[in-house]
Amino acid sequence: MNASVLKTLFSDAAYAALAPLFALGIGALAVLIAGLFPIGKVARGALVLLTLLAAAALNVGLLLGDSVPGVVLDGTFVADRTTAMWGVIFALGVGLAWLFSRHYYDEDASHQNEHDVLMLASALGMSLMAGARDLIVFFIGLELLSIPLYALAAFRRNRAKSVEAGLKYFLLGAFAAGFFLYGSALIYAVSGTLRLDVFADPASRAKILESPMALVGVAMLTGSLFFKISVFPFHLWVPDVYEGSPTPVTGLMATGTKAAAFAFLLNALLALPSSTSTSLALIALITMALGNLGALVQQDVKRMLAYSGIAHAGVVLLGIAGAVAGDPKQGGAVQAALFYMAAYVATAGGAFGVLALLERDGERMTTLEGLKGLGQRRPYLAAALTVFMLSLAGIPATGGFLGKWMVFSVAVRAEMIPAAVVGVLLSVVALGYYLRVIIAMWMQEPGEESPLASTRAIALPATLASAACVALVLVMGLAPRWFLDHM
Amino acid sequence: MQYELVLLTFLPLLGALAIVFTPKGAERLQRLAALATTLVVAALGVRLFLAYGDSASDPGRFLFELPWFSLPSSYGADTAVNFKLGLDGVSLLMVTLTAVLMPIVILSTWGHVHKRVKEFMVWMLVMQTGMLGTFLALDLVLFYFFWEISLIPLYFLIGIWGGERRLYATVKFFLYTLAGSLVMMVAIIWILWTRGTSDVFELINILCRAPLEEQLWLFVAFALAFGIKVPLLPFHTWLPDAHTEAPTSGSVVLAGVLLKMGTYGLVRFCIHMLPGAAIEAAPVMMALGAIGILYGALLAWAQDDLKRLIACSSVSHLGYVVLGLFALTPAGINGGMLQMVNHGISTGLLFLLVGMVYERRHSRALDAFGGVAVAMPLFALFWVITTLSSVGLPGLNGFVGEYLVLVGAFQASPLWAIVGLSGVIFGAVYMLMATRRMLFGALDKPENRELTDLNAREIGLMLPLVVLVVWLGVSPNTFMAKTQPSIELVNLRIAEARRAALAGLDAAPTAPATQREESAR
Amino acid sequence: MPPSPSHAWLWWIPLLPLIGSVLCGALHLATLSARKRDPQAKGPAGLAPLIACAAMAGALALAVKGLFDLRALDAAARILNSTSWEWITVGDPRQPWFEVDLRLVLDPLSSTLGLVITGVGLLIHIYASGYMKGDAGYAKFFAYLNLFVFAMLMLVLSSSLLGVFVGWEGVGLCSYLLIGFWYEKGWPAEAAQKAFITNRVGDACFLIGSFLLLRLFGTLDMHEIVARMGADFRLDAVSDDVKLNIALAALFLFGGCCGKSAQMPLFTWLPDAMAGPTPVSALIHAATMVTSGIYLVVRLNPLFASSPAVMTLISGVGVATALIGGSTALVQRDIKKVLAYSTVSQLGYMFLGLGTGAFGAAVFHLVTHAFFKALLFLGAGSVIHGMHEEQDMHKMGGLRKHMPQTFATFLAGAAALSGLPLMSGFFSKDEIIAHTFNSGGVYYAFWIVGGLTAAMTAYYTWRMVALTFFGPERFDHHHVHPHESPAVMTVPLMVLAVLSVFGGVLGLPPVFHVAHVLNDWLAPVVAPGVAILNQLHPHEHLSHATEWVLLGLGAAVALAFAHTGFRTYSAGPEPDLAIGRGAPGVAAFLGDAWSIDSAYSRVVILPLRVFAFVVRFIVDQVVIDGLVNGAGSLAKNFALRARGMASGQLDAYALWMGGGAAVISLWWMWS
Repeated sequence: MNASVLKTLFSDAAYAALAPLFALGIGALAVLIAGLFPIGKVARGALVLLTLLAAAALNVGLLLGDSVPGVVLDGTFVADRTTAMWGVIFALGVGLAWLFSRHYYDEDASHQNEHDVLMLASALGMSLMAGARDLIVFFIGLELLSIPLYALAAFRRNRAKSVEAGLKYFLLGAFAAGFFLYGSALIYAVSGTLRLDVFADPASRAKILESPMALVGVAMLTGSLFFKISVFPFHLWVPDVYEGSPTPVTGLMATGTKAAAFAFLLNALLALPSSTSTSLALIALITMALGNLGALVQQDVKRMLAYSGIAHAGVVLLGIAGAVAGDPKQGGAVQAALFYMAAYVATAGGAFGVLALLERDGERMTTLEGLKGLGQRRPYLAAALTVFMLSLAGIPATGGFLGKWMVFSVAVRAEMIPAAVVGVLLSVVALGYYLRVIIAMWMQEPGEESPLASTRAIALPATLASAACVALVLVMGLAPRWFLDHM
Repeated sequence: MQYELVLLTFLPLLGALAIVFTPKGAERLQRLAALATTLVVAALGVRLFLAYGDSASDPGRFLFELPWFSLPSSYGADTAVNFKLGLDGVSLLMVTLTAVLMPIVILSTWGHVHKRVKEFMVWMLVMQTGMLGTFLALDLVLFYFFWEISLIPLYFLIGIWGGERRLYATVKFFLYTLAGSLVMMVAIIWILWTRGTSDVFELINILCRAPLEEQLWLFVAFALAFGIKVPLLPFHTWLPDAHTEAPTSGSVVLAGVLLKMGTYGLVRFCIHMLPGAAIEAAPVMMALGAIGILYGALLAWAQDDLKRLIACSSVSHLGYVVLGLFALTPAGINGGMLQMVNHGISTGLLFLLVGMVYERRHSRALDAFGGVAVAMPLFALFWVITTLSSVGLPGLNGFVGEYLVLVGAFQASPLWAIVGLSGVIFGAVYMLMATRRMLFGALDKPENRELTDLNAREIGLMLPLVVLVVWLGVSPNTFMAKTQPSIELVNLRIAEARRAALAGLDAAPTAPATQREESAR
Repeated sequence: MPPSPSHAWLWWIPLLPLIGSVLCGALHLATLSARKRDPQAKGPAGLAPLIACAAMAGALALAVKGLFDLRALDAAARILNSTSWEWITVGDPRQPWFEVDLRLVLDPLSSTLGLVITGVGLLIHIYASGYMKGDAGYAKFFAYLNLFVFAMLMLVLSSSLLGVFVGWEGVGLCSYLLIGFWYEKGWPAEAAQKAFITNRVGDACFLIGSFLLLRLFGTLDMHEIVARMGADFRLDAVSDDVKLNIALAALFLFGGCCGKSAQMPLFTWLPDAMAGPTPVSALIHAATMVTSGIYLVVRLNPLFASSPAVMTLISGVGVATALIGGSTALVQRDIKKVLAYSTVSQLGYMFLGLGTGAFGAAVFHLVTHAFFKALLFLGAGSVIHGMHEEQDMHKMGGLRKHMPQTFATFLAGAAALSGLPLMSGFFSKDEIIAHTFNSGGVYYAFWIVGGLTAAMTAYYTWRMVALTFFGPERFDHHHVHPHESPAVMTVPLMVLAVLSVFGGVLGLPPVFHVAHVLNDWLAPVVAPGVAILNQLHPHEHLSHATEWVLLGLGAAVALAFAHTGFRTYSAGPEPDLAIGRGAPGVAAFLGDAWSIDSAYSRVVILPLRVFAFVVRFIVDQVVIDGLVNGAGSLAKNFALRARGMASGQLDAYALWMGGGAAVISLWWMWS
């Protein structure tokens, strides 16, 4: 391969496009190296934050800049405004998880250093996934995200549950990765390429998809992505892993990972024939039903949020189904999904974070019993959690509401009215358990199991993080104009 | 005074914020702050009421619009969602009632709210903003915003300060009403997408010529939300629970204003926006209303808990409203609108009175009383006046609305009018039964002998309502004259739709473009 | 009709009593607060009767003024319109969809009733100021009484049917409040409730009638309606549909009258209404309120006249009620119950007369009845007062020497009620009977029953007199010391006695060859109705010979049965006991007013109550709410099942994934 090729590969546009990724990569390495030297926790923290902020800033730059690099690296990676917005969302998700993790491991002083490195690496992976236009590139991103998460899930290694979570996640993740590789192999066999853009042209797409082999391939790809976004029937790992993993990590899985997977799924839509929309919608509804019903009977809030996460994935999938069926509004589904996930990252990230703050020895304190009377002891914390619950439930004045509105709009536009109606009614079930959290916090007197945590002062980073989440959720709910215009 | 409406709507919210930052213990301060806020709001409301409809005041005063954000639409341009508040004859009475009722409610809490006063006042004020916003919103999305938000405060009010089964009641209330509104949400999404505007008045001009089938679907979606809120038979079962468990002030607001959000929606959207469907659905709605009247009355008759009895009577009274509105005759609609206010006042008073006696006696079981009139003559006086207004005695507020409703209904369908008329009889049956068992008979129970009569605060807070009871009964025209022009527009719509239906050309879908032009005018 | 020069002062006729009522109410509250400070305090309650009577006197004066103003006009134009109050306006005031203007109208009919109400009312107020002395609710009583007069005057003066309804329900309310005046006792409260609800049934009919009138005429102004059916109205010109609607309207309005005027099937509340203080029984349940039904029919006479079926029904109901009431009065022991059932029966007479189209006669009997029945009630009250609240005639006897004035006046009343010759009742009742006879056909039957009832009336009246004032003294002399009532109570009795005796001059029968004052006076009001009746079946007047026969027959029956009634019981109540022993069934049946009331509670009220509970416990809680909560629990159950999926078994999870992928790809291949 000669210089010209390299030149086309690494054009200025490419550098601009990859800048955020570079930032994250360099940052990760820097933290790793810094770990070798006895520099203080604070300095290291600053480094991490700096990295994330840099990544976010570069993405915002792309977002606001008048020209976007677009497709680079020989069509394998795209850096358009959407990717940039995803990048911002990832930075936010990882940032939140990191902030909430600051004092989380205090009791069992584990290796904070590796922890930070892994988190940054996962952020890099997410960004790569979001921009990938090529199956291999995406797979690299996927693994860059997954492997750190396997480690993070098991990070509290002196806790059986944590280790178990990591192991389960790893095994099933590997299984799903296998799906992906096999699927892409089949597609390659038919189409002779791994680029998504072959699907862009309807004619060639039709040609490819009339071979069952390719269809199976697409199906397996989809399956592996469904695993990441935790959609029926690929969602079963979620409760166990979420419950076992350290809460900040759970937050990251629930928000960042999902977002990244959705980002690519939205790109990969091209590959999905519109005839699949029915099945997708059905899967989405089943997922919502299982997620909400599952959450309905949980006593442990963390596990409950895991199920609720499944349900939310179902909601977004319904939007995607609408897009596959044919959304008359160009890019409507992408906008909807972006807004929904942005709101969800802020909301769920915040919710898991608050839980992390409430946690004492193990998971026991995240039960509903433990939340009783929180409103009396920690009004602000309880208020924050209340806002998150209402946003998850999709009550107006929160980002969650508008997100729900937009996603269902996609379904309505695609004239999947019945599906939309069933969907909204399922979200009534969801309200059933979100309200239980609020009830416990405000309407019930503290039980004997009430959180001693509530006597502990909350460290600055966590306070900042939760405040930021609340602010973001409310702004997205009340003054969404900026977001809507840039998505 | 362009900002008068915004001020009216958000002043309570500001008050709430202020109270949030008051020190924890300062209950007196919090109470007074809440009272002051609501009093100012009430003053604003009354000023608006007086100014409304007299040619001197400029119309801009009753409209406020601000671009908010935009959502996709099937037209090239996105649907502009505006922050649009407006006051017209349909919302006027409700807004004024909301403004005027609130200080009274706050004042009533002196007696029965003793724990977590701060939060209570905050929620009360937030609720007022929610309610005012719902009535004033002239943008579909904004309306939906306020519509759902106003659920939350009551959810907390019942859940924290409620009675024994408060959690069951409050969750039931929340889920039930939300289930209805979510279906409405889908309908709204559809409207925004297909019609490319969320301005209520524009939509009123556009949707009336939508194909009948589409109108009917939309009607069902809206009517479900509003019907559950009203509550219309058979969606009423959340109401008695909510009322019974709610604290007095909660019940007053619930009966006085919140339920009216449903009937208001029925007028504004189901009838005015979808006249064709309204005409089609009128027989069903009238039937539900009329049966509701009878059903609620029988239900109330079979109660032995005073508060629950009144809650059931609400089902009956709101049956009148629906019966009148869907008679789709001028008399019926006017009567329905008036009856909304009447029910708000009478039932509000009844709940206040029950609360007052409950504070003293700590029981609401009818059998626990007897001969109370001897111990509390003033209470008896207020109770009897209120009872008479609620059974529709001529000269008091209840009658005018009731009679107009029935006249209108009779013009539309004698059968349902006569079924509804049974409410005139049974209304007297259960109210007088309650009155007799509570006030009359021998004062034989020792704990009733201790009862002290109403104090100055209690009399003072009820007097304004009693004045209204008489005023509305003697000179309803003061109020109807103001609402008249707007309701006349509704009548015109219905007449048009009737003609269209007769002509058989049930509004062929004209090209979107022309629709938008027309709506622009 | 265009309101000719409007007389605002008419408003003062009802307003004076209203003001009086408000003032008395204030006095009552003042008294209460005074008592709160020290229980013995009398408070300002003593002023109440002065205010109330002053208000009544004022109203009476204005009514009299009205009378003279009317007489000044020539017969056709005898109408005074007040200014009108635009009460309800729906739609653009210039051409409203629906509007109700409250306007007071003084015409011969309303002025007649206005005089009765204010006149008799004033007397009863004066009487009450003595009767109620010392009662805890002294001021309250007069507040209610004045309020009642206000409502009653609204009823008779309003030109709009809805204005009538204001009074109609208003008097119902006051009757409720006054029957239940002594609510501590419990049963008065129940009687009050019964009265109000029974009346409500009638009122519902009234409303339906008003809807129908609105549909027919597009207005509720009764004078306008009557005018439309006036001179040039030809019944045979209107379509059957309209005829039907007219008949229905008349029918439902009559239903309302049955409620107020205690006719079959809604009469059962009136006897219980005696739970109220006696002046109330005299004013409301004898003289005024219960006659509002008659007023309404006369006011809308062309409407009723143009539906013969309804007219016959009215007579039938009237005569049936008369019979039931009269026969029940035969065996009552409670003196007020006797008078109550007698009232029911007399009202029946009035409706009998209305049904025959003898509107004038009905009003005539209404007036005389107001005099003598008020007198009898007040007299009974005086007796009860003197006997320390004893109402059982079996425990009385020989009172004539203890309370001579009461006795004398009571005799006058009894004579009038029983229709002894030349008494007021004699003429009014016989006019009705004569009209019935004259109407022929089924009316002959009515005539016979009417005559029978007249006989009963004479009998029970004099039975009552005998048991109360004659025979051995059966009360316990240690505890009861009968005494004459104070002048403030006996003077009204005397006035009423004079009226009862000479009231007949208002309507002497044709055979006397003098003008029938009342009929001539009312002629312009009832003209339209009479005209329509003549269209239907022009019937000639009775020959003088028949008149004489009927008069003689009436006199004979009255005298004969009055005599027997008196003779049978002058020795004491043994005959009652004899009947009780001889035919206990009959005695019980009559004593319980043909046990119609108890039948209602079994056949109507009980089932409804049961139904209400079925609605509450089964329909509402089990069925409807069951569905609602069922949805919730359903979700829970599903959830518990679904939880099984998350077994924690990795292989199971993997299997799900693999299976899922397989299914998806298969599906996509086939679709």
